[in-house]
Amino acid sequence: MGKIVGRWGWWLLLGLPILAFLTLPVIAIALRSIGSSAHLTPDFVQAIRLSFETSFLSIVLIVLLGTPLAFALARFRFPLHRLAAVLVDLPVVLPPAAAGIGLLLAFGRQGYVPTSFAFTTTAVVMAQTFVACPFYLRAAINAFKATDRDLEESASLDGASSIAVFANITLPICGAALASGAITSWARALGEFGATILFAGNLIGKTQTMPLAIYLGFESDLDQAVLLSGILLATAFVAIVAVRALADRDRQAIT
Amino acid sequence: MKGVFTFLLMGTAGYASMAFGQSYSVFAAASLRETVTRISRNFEDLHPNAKVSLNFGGSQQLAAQIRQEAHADVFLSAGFEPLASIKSLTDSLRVFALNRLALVVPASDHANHEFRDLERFTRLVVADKAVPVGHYTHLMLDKAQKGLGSAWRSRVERAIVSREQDVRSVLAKVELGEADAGIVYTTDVLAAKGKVRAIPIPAEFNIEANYPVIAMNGNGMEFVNFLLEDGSQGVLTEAGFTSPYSPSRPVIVTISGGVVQIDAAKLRSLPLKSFTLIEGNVIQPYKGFDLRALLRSAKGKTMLVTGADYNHASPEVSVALKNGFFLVPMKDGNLEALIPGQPNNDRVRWVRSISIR
Repeated sequence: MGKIVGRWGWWLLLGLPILAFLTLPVIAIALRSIGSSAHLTPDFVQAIRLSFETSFLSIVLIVLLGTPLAFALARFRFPLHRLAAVLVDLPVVLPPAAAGIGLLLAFGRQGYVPTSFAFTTTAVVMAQTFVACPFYLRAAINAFKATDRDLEESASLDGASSIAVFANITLPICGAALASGAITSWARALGEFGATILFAGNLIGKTQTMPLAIYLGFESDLDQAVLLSGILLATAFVAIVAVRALADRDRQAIT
Repeated sequence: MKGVFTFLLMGTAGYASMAFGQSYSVFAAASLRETVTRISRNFEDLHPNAKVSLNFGGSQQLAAQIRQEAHADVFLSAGFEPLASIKSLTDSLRVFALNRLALVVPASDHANHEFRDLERFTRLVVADKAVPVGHYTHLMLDKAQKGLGSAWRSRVERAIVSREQDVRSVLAKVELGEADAGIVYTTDVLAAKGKVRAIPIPAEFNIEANYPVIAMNGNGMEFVNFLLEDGSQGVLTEAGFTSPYSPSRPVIVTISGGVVQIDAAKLRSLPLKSFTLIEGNVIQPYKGFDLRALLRSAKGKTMLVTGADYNHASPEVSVALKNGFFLVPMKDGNLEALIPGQPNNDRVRWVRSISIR
């Protein structure tokens, strides 16, 4: 034991400040919301419901529409492949507020693709999908790339259609990785704020999701905001634990 | 390891030296963005060592930051409510500007709208009730409801598609044409530079928004005083704000419950007297209206003199009778109360009311 501390202790010691920095705000929210005597007002309950509804809808859309794209990007080279790969990652680093402006300019009433989605629940789902999609795509692309191509090829030599190969061979192999990508992506959608407030606005029961309620609650009702932060924190925690459990299972399955 | 510490020490030293320069941290409501930026530049020009840092946002949001101990020397709010439970210098509160609400539509909308058509818009954007402009909007709609009916009001409420976190977000949504209409301040119409068109809100429904300022320390008070000077007031009125010091607003004298309104004509009937005051070591001559005749008929013991900026003094009637109590005409047509012998606060500018209790 002493030897281990001797060899690795310095690294841990150097790492402690940043670990403490990352942990303290989380602990602060946890302590404050556990100790809170506040009861959620109906407005905040609506925000929770809306958040879960929209983020589930978003992740369903992301998985349904994202999986084929991820498969295409992982398996085939096509014109502008590199550009497509970059564009797909862009929303991760794009400030969400900029994403919101982009959505308004693209899909607003005066946008390039004029729609009347702004200020509706649809806009909330669009904002979440835009911002959260890359997290799923990245995970799916990596999973597809890591799949053993020989298995797929031998199945198609046996006469299986491309869709049958995907459903019976690729999907079961990549399942855990896809699921963990989807959970990460869903958690990101749940926490979406900047793009939502700009593109969807803020109306209780319609577009006010949990992060928006937290932001406005910070100004008017701090206790509720803290409590809501606690709920989001707990959800995120469970999500990450689930992702890690899936990853562990995956690793054991391979070895 | 040693290197890291040296680096950290150098870092803190840098901050310390910055703090020694005269820095002014100004928190201001979103609707003041252009004007307060200009006023701060003027302030810096006048004080070469001063560095003003500006933080704009919804007043309620800024107030929350200050309550969470963000460093602000001075806070310019769009309403009184955000000031609650913020510690500031005693008696630093002043009202420095007035504003009104405006209904705006995108400039591309050429239809002939009236205020009562508010119910017909399908996408109306207002500010959240947590921020002052949203609060005023609510009050305005309450007033309008009395005239236009509760059915009208509920149709308006149904037309609201978003409650934004500050007034400029409302404006942006209208500018972009995403909202059919929005409710902002009159001054925002000018700030939008032709991208929106204002539809007048009837005076009987409109709300007068007060912009109060508080200072947290001496530096802040310097900025407050600068804000009340003619130059800064000019910047504000140019942008469409009303100066609270507009002489057209009457001086009201309340004596023992009954209200006696003093207007220009009535003042002229009072004796204009020459008198002197000792200021520092200088004897200053003044000409003002002597109000002691009015005071003598008063039954109350204390008077409360309030200025348009909410500065106030409360001398004892007996002391005022003994030392004198004068209203001196100011250059801009307003009146300044001089209360000799009143410690700390012997003058109230832009007098709006005097009540005796």
